[in-house]
Amino acid sequence: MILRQISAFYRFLFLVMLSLALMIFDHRSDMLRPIRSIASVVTLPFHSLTQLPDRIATTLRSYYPNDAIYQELEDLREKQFKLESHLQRYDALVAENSRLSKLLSAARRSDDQVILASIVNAGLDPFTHRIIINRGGEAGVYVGQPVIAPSGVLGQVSEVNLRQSIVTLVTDRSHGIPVQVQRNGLRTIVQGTGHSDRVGVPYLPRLADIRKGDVLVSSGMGGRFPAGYKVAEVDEIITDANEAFLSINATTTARIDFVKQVLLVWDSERLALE
Amino acid sequence: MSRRSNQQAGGWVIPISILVAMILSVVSYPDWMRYAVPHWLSLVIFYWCIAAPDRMNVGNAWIAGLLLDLLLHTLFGVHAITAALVALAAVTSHQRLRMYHIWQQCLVVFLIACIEVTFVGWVFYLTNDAALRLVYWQAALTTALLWPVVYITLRFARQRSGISRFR
Repeated sequence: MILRQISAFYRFLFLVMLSLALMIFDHRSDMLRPIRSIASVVTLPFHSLTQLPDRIATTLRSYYPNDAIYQELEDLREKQFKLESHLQRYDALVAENSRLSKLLSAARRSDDQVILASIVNAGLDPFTHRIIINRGGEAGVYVGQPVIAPSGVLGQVSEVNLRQSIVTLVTDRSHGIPVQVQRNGLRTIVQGTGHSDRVGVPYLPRLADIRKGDVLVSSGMGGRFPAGYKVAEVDEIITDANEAFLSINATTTARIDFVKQVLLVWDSERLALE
Repeated sequence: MSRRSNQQAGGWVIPISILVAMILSVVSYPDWMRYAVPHWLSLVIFYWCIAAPDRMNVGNAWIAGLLLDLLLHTLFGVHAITAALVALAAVTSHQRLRMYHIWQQCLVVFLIACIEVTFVGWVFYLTNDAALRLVYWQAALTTALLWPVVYITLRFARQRSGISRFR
């Protein structure tokens, strides 16, 4: 009996040492990446399995048409109509914009290319803000690629596997994104806080022109995120006379809770380079 | 002879319960449950280490934890260490733990889960710049509260499959 306990303890010690070595190795080098990448072929069905109840519910609902669905269809038609009419103006604006850009002999910005991806898992661990999407290296996804939702920027790809990728959200503590205030073009950085839907704007001096309700859009600085996508909305500004910087709380415009599908964006300039 | 038949009976129950625990670990929980997701794998490992330490041990638990790391995209070895720790705690004192009342077992589960959260949180603090906040320990509480449910479910599965208690 005692012998068994001792052997279990030594086995544990050995495995702890092995795990520590593995963790350090995994953190410091990329040599274990292929294993993860190949394993994603197995883990993706696993994650898909957890989506099954949701999918069954959706399928079942589609077999029983009811008033709510007709209402939704009606609403969507209306929305589509509105969007289409707006789009006409958009085309004209794009044309005008490119004409003006040509006059200024600036680089012409064309539309960004996008593909659609589904969120496979939206809460890997409580400590970070990462999600899994069902597109990976096979679809041409790259590390650092911007991920957006219709309501705003979600984050960027931080790990690419064969058929799935990990996206670090803008709310993650390690994430920063260059933005500008839509109202006046003031440039700054939005930093994740580790709280859901909350981000901070840490480096604005006390006299900066920023107000409650200001919309922060990506500025395109640094070349990672294309310019002009919504990121967050300022909801609180705390001025402390003892601090050099304002303390600003903002809410992300894209709420991860309500998002099921995301867009992966290929920057047109990056595409032109390739 | 009876020992041999016991070893072969119901061999699929343990892998399946571990598989279910893995699936439950990767289910997308709603945002308000973000910090309260219980450690399913630890609960299952804890049960089998107490009830059938001849089938579940530190090594098996370590491999299961490694698979969880793969699934959750954490550093290789993080959950493997915690799984091995759960197994060690349960295996070395399984006879005493069996004597405990279920609420006393809950307390033990709570303490182990606290250690787990502390360790995993610390690793994330070092590698991902995560803040250490008190809410993370909610998970230890939900894990402990779920122990009776897991215990009763797995005991039922064990009795039905014919795995007898080891020693």
